[in-house]
Amino acid sequence: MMDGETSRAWSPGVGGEGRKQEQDFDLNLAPIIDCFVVLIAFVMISAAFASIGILDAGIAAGGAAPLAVTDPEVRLKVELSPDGAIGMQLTGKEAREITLPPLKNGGYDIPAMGQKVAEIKAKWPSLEKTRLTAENKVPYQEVISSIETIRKSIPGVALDGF
Amino acid sequence: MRKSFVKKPRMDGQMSLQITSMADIFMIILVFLLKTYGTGAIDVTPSPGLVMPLAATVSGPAEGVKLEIAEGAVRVNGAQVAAIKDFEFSSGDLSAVGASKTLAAALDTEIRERPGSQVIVLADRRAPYVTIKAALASAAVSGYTDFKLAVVNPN
Repeated sequence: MMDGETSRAWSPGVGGEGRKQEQDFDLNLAPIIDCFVVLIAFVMISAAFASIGILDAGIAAGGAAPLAVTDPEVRLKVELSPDGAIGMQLTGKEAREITLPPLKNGGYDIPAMGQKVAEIKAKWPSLEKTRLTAENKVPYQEVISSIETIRKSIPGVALDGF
Repeated sequence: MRKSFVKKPRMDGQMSLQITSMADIFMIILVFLLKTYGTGAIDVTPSPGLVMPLAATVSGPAEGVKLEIAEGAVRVNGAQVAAIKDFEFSSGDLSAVGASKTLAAALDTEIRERPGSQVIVLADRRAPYVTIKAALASAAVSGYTDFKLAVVNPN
């Protein structure tokens, strides 16, 4: 049985009692907080904060030549040497070789290579593909960095050396 | 002694925790986590010890056979298919074209069970290029023609 005070507070106000209903109430946030805690824990456990991306790379392998493909005006081949030097070989209408010496710490001068590739691309806009090769001992990170840099100017990079 | 006119709060033993601000903080954390959730191009969990190379890329999601090259093992879709030592295949495992026989056999089985042409290479950044070449040659021998290199976006 309800006590007299509670029954008056929740009475619908009929019968001429004239009492105002209680307008203030507190939203019970505790279950919402519980849901948030569970959701945050789940998302933090299952989330991968390292964003994995993809680099497209073809391989410059032998095989039947594709039909209806015109020869490019120039071809560019980039080679990573184990001593840190980068060789660039341009063949076709312009034939020349560029050698970029290693940095003082023995690393590859990849920004300089990117600059050279951009210059070649500006001169030969039809150049759409580059072949990239490396000596056997060259770490994969250097190959990836080279692909990333070349792709800023020339979209197609094919791994060579097979 | 002077009487203080500051009214002391009555200590009645009950206190109500103000959790509205806590709910706001949780909401912000939840939105942040949901926004960063699953932004990678591929859904993959690299094996422990595998240090993937860094590169800034803008690419869409990709699906395909996941070929993982770690320091001591080569895995296809998470299952170890070949053992390597210090990132290098044993010379007896390499064919005349530079492909790994065991890896090519595993990829042959994979392409028969799940036809497709795309391979996603998850290789350690310290792996030498000769091992990457051998893995790509093995995939090419098995009939895969589309190669994607998985990297970690430094941003």
